[in-house]
Amino acid sequence: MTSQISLFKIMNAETKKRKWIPALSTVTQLILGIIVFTLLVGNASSNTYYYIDNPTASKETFIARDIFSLATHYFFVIEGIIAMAGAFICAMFSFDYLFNKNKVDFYHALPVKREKMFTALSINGFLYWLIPAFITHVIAYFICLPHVVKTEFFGMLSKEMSVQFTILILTYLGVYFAFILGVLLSGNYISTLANMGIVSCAITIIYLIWTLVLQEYTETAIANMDKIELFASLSPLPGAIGLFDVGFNGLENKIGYCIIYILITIIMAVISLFLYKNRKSETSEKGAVYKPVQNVFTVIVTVLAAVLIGSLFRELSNGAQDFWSIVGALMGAVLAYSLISIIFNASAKNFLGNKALFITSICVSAVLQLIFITGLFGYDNYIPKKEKLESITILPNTFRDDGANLLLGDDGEVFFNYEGLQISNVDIKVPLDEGYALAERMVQARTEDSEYMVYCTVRFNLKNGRKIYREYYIRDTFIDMVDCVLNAEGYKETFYKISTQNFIKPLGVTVEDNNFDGATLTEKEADELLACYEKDFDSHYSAEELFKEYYDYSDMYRIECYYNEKGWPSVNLPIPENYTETIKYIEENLELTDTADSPYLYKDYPAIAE
Amino acid sequence: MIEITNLHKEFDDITALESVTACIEEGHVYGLIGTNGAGKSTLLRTIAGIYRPDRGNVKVDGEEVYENTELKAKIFYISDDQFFLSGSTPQVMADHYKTYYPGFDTERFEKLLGILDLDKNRKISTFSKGMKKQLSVVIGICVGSKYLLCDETFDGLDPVMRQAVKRLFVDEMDKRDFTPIIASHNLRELEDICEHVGLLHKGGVVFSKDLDEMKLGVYKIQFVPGADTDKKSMMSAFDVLTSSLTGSLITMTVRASREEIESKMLELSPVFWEILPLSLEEIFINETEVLGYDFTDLTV
Repeated sequence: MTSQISLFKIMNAETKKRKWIPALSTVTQLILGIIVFTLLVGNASSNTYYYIDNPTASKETFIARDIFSLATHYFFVIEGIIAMAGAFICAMFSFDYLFNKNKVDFYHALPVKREKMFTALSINGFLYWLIPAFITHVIAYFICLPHVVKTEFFGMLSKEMSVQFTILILTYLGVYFAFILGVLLSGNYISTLANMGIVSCAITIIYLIWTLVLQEYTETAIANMDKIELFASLSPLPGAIGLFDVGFNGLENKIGYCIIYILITIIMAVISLFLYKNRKSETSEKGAVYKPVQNVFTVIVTVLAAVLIGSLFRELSNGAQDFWSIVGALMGAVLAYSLISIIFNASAKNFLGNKALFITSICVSAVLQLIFITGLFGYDNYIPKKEKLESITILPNTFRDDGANLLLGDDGEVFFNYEGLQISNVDIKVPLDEGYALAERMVQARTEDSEYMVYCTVRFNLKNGRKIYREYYIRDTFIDMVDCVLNAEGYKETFYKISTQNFIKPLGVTVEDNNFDGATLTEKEADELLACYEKDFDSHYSAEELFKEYYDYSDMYRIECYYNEKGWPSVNLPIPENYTETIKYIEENLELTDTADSPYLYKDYPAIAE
Repeated sequence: MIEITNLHKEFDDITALESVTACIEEGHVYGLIGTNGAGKSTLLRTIAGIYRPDRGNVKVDGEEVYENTELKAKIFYISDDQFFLSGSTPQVMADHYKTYYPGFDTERFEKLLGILDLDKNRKISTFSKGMKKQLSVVIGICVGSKYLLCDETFDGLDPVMRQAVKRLFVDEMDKRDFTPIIASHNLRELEDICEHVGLLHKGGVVFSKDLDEMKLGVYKIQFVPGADTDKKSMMSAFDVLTSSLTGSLITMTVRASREEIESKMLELSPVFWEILPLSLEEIFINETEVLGYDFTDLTV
């Protein structure tokens, strides 16, 4: 008699016990993934509209583009949700025998090494999703193919669907092993759900604390920063969502993210194997299998809940914020500790569980809350010493984000949209002395009142390579100090480039006043008016002027530039009172009437025009 | 041979097995008896490689059994509440075990099901408790393992079926290298099949002996001492496990050989005396009573 049973035989035997999982997976993917997708593709094929921002492309191209978009976006989203739900079901029901003593006897008495059983069950759980997903993708691809085969989208579709399928596999595996880990740390279903939640969401909560709670207690913390997002990506579920984002928006510059995610998945798989091998059979039906893990989880959940509820109380209270944040923290700690104790001990009788652990959790929560209240040891006031700095980068986040043409975002792109132009992530290294003085002033002005303010992100680039981020408010009291930003080469380079783009010769130009009287300009008039506008713009190029325009918005006229015959999108150039040259030109040379309107606007859409 | 040496197993704060040492010879039926919560099931699970010993070891044919697939293939464990796959039939279970025990004897399986009148295509969930036990035994025999561990397997079987199962075991032992280890409370059932018995009490082995030898070592004596004989001195002449007095009739359970008892009785010359054989159940009660496992007085 040999005990060397092949992996395939075990996989086959175990699949027979769980036929419903692959069946459910196949049916779900075929129904949601294919039938709904086919209907949508059918609708897209019969649509008569086409994209108004590119009138030169053929109708076939638009349809192909629609199909492409459905295949790589809608389909990807549906498949991604199925992958995550599938990962949960497969993980839970491949290993849930560990929650039942009789089943544990049955499995662990079998002459199979635990490594082999783990491998068989894990691979099975993966294949239950993978095989139907692959078939679904192949079918979807062939549904799309007839529509895109004659266009440039054929190659793109093949590439995108392959990349996205790979991303889906990674997404599935990450969530799958996170859930397996949750199962292996638990002895019953309720604690599994708790553990899965903790494993998956612990770092999300830390992320929330960083982005939300920290901002509640501090004034200069950064909400959106690559490093924080990366930090959040270490947690499987948000990581999967992050990965999903990579799949949705493309792999550009995100390979590192994928690699980190793969590494985390591998680590989780290895830990799962270790836990499975060393799990005591007698722990089935218990709340928590590993006491130390239970204790660590309990403290983590308690402290995080305390901080979150403390900050919530702080946010909701009108006065005595410090007091209420402490009350909230203590309440949160007791509630969370009791809840987790009940879950892990599978009993509500002794809801305070281990008293020493309870006291430790409460103390840690209280200390953390006090740290927050006391300003995180001067977090808001901290600026690195000047001699340690290599440079200072200032990222003005909002200048005139009012639908005009000077939007500064933070995702590294400059682009058109229907509201105008957006400039993003203008990485401006300002002169060190001026930048440092500005930072000091911004710190000093943290609690000042002001008529208006905008915020900016400052990155202190240290000589040792470290970067420190802070977010400050620029107030009207020191607005002139921001000119060091505007005069920085990096800013000018980007700003002027965009400014120039505004003056690309448009196909048509209209002017409108506040009474909606307007005029359609001739080519000569348009050239002259835009020349005046550019001149005015240059003469008012300072932070103070820009901010004033933003806050004291009192446009006399607006120029509308159209770049195609559809009349949309257009670029809107507001003309404030101080743009004297432009105003003078309009008033002296143009006659605004209530009948004039864009010759292009809504040309093809009479119903909308009406 | 299964050698259990200084085996120790704890569940949180509860000691299930404490320094258990025993030896189970091949080719005999071994009966494992014990009080409730004595650790019989824990011991069987440890022998089956389900539980990892906290201390000590369990060696089967000279090797430690935990995570040893070669050895585990020689052992089949039937738990007191055997698990069957959801919605399965005997045939499905047989197919399942064929994967893990390649020596599974399908022909014998079908034959035995026929003899026991169990439909191989009927859902097990519709079986009675006794029928499930029968099925477990049939599977246990047909997987072809050397050691069959039965935890309370005879409970739930009717008397006819119990005899049938015993015959199956004997038949199997005649045919091949087969050692059933049976844990049970039903001592009368074990008595006529087991050759060797181990008694567990509160996690420790009280004794592990050959049944005949055990029966030869413990006897019940009934005697009426002479009028001028001191009862206490008569009793002190023996290693008394239990005693009772009914009128002038003294009944004692003593640990001694028949020859020893006879020679002492001749020496003490009571008015009347006789030696009665003990049942396994009586031995169990006597031995555990000595260890304080006595619920004769339940007056509250």
